[in-house]
Amino acid sequence: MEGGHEEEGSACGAEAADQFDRLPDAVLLDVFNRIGDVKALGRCALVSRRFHALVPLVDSVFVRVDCVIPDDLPPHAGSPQQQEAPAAAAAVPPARGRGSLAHIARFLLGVIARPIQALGQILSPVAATVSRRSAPQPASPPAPAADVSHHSPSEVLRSFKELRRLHIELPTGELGIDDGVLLKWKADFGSTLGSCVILGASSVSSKPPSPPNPPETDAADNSAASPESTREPEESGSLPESLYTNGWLKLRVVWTISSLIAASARHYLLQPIISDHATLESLNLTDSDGQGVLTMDKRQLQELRVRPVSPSGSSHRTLMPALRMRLYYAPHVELPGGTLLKGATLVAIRPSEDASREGGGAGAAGSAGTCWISNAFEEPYRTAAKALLKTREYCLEMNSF
Amino acid sequence: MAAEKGEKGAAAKEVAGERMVTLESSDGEEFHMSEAAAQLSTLLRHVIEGGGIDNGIPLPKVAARTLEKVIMYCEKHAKAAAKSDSDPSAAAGSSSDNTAAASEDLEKWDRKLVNGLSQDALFDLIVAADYLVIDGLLDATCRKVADMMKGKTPDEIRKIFNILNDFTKEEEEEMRREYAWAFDD
Repeated sequence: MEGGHEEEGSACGAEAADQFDRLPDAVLLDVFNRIGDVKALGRCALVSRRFHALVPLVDSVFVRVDCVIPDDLPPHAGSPQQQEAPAAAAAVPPARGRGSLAHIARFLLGVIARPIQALGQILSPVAATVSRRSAPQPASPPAPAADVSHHSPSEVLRSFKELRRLHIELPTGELGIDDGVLLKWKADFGSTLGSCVILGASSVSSKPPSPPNPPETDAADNSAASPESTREPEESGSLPESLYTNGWLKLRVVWTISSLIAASARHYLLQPIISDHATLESLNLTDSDGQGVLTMDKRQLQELRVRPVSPSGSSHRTLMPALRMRLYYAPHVELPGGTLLKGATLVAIRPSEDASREGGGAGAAGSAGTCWISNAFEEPYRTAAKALLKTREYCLEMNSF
Repeated sequence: MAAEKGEKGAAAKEVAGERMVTLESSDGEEFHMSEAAAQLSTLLRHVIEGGGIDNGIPLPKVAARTLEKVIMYCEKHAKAAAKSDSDPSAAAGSSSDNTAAASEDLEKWDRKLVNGLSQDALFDLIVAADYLVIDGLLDATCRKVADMMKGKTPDEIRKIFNILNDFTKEEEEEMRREYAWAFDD
């Protein structure tokens, strides 16, 4: 080493050595595996030949979709500015500034918007009041199937041949919900739906609860965690008459169907990624709003490779099998931290075939099968789910769609 | 007072009721560390179980100032593990808050340790953690380097770590196309 002061890793001439020379490839790969963000990894790949050779070997990647370009606006060549397009079915408020994965978002959002549109047409009277976004829109021309200037998720992930864990985050949830309404879903899929848990509330407030109001729509339940409180006498498992007549049930059906459609649309568009990456062991597709979480574990990914997905008609989403749903309701649920949920509803959904195979049915709350429900969400919603699970269970069946 | 433990060899001596291990750095300095802490290194664990060495365990790949940090890390984590093991409320499973807070504190401590290092010292520590097979330390140090790379252009990364750009112009252009999605901003 020539004389002179010791520099701390700054480029000062021939004596400064590449810090990574001392690290074996396996350790450098360990570093890359902790970068996560796919864009940062892409940039690393251009640093040197060694980096370029190793980056594609990472086993875990996080793709953050930066922003959304509404479906019927032309892509801007220069700097894409976000615009509100209230008439566009795919319009979502710009969540972030412009970013390079706008194209991916457009690809993803384009296919999700149309099913939501269809949903609006099926349930229009209710949809119009529940959500701006799911209201029926004038038919917009279908999005171009492939546009050269876009980068599809498959393209971005193409060079990562050893991928084992993949996490994609959309900028926002697909479901437009009014302020103050809570709607969260968590679903897992193999070739088709494995299970889905939905948590909704017609209003969320952070005030401490005043003395409980007289029950609005449901005489069955006056407080969240007291399963013993008086209930309307009724057939076991079926909903009280009152709930059918004042939109209570319609609202929850819309929540349920919207969530399932969003989940199945996400699942459907993951197929090319899954078939391109045979080494995948875990896949998560979330959104930064925390609205929906789709997961697939190793076994489920394998199942999908062996048994391809059935699309639902001509919409770009996976077919839902016949479903058995367990619904739990409480007019008030207080979360740790003081937030109050009104009209809180928990819906636990599984394919009817699975549910009957395991002997689950009304009153099966004590069986091995409620962990997946109570653990679906993180706190503080986990507490809500657990509280709701203690209330009366209503069973519903839904046909395949 | 040092008591000989026959099975473990003289390298494991007892000091104040705790079994100690003697380590020798590449520059000849002697260090002591508790056996509990040494267990965090898979390599040391095997050496100790294999019967140890009379005059301490030589570590020709680890310099004194690095070994010092390694021992600091291992002692801290061994103590934390012992504490949570013996904590009655943790055993009862009721205070997951305590364990969560404790592990958060430990993470903070780890971050503080790696943040306080010069780049040379950081890489020295990575090499040591890799050699000694200390998973947690390797994780913390690699995470730090990964953080240093995030949000930077390739050129910036090269400058920070003194990496030579060994692509030809043509290669670089082709790669820019291959990874175009990482650059449109």
